[in-house]
Amino acid sequence: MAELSDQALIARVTVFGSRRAFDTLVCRYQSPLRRFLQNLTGGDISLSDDLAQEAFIKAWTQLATFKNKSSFETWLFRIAYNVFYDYIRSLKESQSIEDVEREVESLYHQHANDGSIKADVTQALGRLNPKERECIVLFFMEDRQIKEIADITGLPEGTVKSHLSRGKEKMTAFLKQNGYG
Amino acid sequence: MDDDKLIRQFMLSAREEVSDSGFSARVMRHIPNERPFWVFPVIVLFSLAILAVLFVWLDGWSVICNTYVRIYTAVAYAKHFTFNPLYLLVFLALGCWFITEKVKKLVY
Repeated sequence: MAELSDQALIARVTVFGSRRAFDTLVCRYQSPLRRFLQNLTGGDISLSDDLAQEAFIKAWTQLATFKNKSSFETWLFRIAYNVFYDYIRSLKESQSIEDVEREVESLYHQHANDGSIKADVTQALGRLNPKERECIVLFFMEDRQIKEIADITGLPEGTVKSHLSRGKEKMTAFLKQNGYG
Repeated sequence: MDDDKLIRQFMLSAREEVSDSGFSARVMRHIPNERPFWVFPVIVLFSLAILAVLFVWLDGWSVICNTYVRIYTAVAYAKHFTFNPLYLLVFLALGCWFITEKVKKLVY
């Protein structure tokens, strides 16, 4: 089933409820999705795997609602992104944007020195605020286009560009300070 | 070096494929058993409805009747057909040639 396109696999899942077809999709996308979540959680492998699993389960139950407006991968990343923020909100009673952002920061720095992902990258990403970090990771590590990042994060394209621009400035400063430039 | 290039190079140096290590199997164990049951019946009913509309719209009943009449007429004419053993031989020879060609393709 490895040669089948995403569309063909999705059709098999939605029409026949094929678990085998869904398994192929999971195998195909587990690596980028888990890597993305590891970068959001500061390298907490256990947490990012739990979140990735939840994202795949949501994808299974909501696959009938998938409309080919974006690629399956972008849609899956969007679900994972929402699962991540649902988790952050569940940690706090209050759900103001500032509280959520503070919680993301705290989660990131709690695990940033675990050594589970390359320390310098983790340290560099730690200098960014959560939105800048998400945009930078999606753009540079996951090779997503601006429009795809906007689809995943739910931010307008202009805002994504602003976050990217500020994130790049901070990253460049870090790299030059640390002898990469 | 261009800033974009510098950042990309730096980020890609940390980009690693995450090995599955049983993750997919774990996900599949947690996938709920309930399939979206409504999807398949809805598609079947929808297809049947379209077929019914096309059948009425394209006058399917008269197409069926005309086909039946043609077959019946052909069979009726066939009664006057006189059998010639040569036809059978030609038919068998062609059949053997066709099968041999197919087997050749399979073997070679």
